[in-house]
Amino acid sequence: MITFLSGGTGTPALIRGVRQILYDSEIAVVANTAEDLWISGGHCAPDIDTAVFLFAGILDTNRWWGIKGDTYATHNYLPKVAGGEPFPVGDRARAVQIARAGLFQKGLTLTEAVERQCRSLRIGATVLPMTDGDAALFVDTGTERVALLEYRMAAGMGAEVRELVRPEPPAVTGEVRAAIEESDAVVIGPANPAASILPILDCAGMRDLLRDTFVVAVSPFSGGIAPDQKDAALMYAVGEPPTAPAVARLYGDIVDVFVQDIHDPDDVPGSLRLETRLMHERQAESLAWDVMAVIRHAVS
Amino acid sequence: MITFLSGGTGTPKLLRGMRELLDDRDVAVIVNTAEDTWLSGNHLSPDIDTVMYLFAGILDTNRWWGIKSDSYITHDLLARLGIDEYIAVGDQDRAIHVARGEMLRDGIRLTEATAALCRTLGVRATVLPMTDSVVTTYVRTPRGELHFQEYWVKHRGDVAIDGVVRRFRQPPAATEEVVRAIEASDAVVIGPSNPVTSISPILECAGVREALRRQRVIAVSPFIGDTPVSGPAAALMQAFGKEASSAGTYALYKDFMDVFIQDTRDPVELDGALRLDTLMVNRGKSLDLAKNILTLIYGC
Repeated sequence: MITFLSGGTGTPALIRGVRQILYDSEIAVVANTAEDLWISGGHCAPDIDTAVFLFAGILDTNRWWGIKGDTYATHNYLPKVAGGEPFPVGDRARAVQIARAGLFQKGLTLTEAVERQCRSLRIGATVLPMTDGDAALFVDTGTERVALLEYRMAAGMGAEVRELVRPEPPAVTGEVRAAIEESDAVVIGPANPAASILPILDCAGMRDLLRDTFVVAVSPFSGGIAPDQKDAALMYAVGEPPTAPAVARLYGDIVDVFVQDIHDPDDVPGSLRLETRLMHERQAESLAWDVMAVIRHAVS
Repeated sequence: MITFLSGGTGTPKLLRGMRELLDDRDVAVIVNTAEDTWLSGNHLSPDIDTVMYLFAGILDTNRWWGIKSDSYITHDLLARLGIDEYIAVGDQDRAIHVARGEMLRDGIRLTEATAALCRTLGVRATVLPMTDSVVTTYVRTPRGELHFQEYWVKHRGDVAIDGVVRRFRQPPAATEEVVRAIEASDAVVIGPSNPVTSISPILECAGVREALRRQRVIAVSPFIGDTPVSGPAAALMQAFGKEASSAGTYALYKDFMDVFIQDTRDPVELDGALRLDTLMVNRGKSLDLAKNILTLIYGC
């Protein structure tokens, strides 16, 4: 089994490629929950849902979030009657959020609730929240404190990130521990470290687990260019520029093979150079083959 | 101004007729809230919504609840995810529940939340919840107490009941707005709504009966013989310890009522009752009954 640490849009794109090579039952995803928040009475967990929707075959792969073909009747009607929501919630996605809130009400943990939802959507892969504890990250913009997801989806491009306010690191779950211990390798996908990966690595017990495992990490940045201004701002908020060497520094000694883009002028000593742009499915599949080859070579 | 006491079906049909004769601004409606409930993380207030949607011109007048041509995307997917919403909540309808839920969570009174929703929906009539505190109608069954909505909507009234109870943390009191509306009116009309589940909760709010005694009150019976015109009134009246007929209805209202209207077909004889056609099967019948009641109030 291979476990992916996943958040944002890059890792799901890579996982889509991996699904061409591995059975879903051989894939586990540890999803970031730092962007989770309550909205309109439902529980929004974007990184979990993206993984779940991907394996359910209903992910909107143009945006890499939400359900394809979803409608927005409730969301579009809300501003007519009240303040509205800070970002679009589709009618189907809302059902998933409401159902999860309902499972919490019955006393289930996040891990149990997600497992239940994976079963109702008949998903073969294992999708695990990184923690059952409170991991919500907030962005201090200098004028207010907004949830990370709200910053990403709704804040103006120029909005300042003074500080990323994080809670006391929660503990990884027993299920995450078991998945990683059973895995041949862990792959850290090309996601923004500040928003998506560091929250996972910061969970109490995670780095120790990864030190005992073969870890391949893929840099999301190449040539100091972040996918967008907010990705850059989030990196600066953790004291680093949006470059591959910065990513390598942030991940530290847990990584065995660091993959950076073949065109990246910023060299990370000892890195493996691959084509990491995931513009379409073929590129994702190609990177997946390369990563899997590295893993087979290392663990066989 | 005329103030109406209303539940979810009979009285709104009368209001439909009234709207053709009165300016909406001259109408106040005091609405039963004992069927309110939190559903899927948001606040459902079935009788308020029906009245509000009627005056906003968006009520589905085939069913007398919900918004016309609404979609049910979230509701349908929730069912597939194993969450059974016992009422079919439309997507636009859900936006109303979300907006109200958010306002109540922010500590806004139900009266103010309703006023805010009425403003944005362009409702010019005054729609007033009977109270701002929480009171809920339950029916007693051999297997325990059921929320009235669950009894009527989920089980379609097909459960033996031996009692009707109101549950609350503190005894409900009429809001100042309710008492003021009654006092400022030329007359109060109790529509042909269920006496047990729609009208009695309003009468039980502290201050309502006293205000009604000082006011001219016209009540319309919802019964023809021992059969209610619509809804589960018969079994409920018996469980409430009252005869399921116009006589039982009369007994509930007699201490403050000035004119009692029964249907021309009703075999029950009551001294001094006014006989009119109360079966509002279409717009024209609603209009006729409304005209007759206004003649009583204002003369011709």
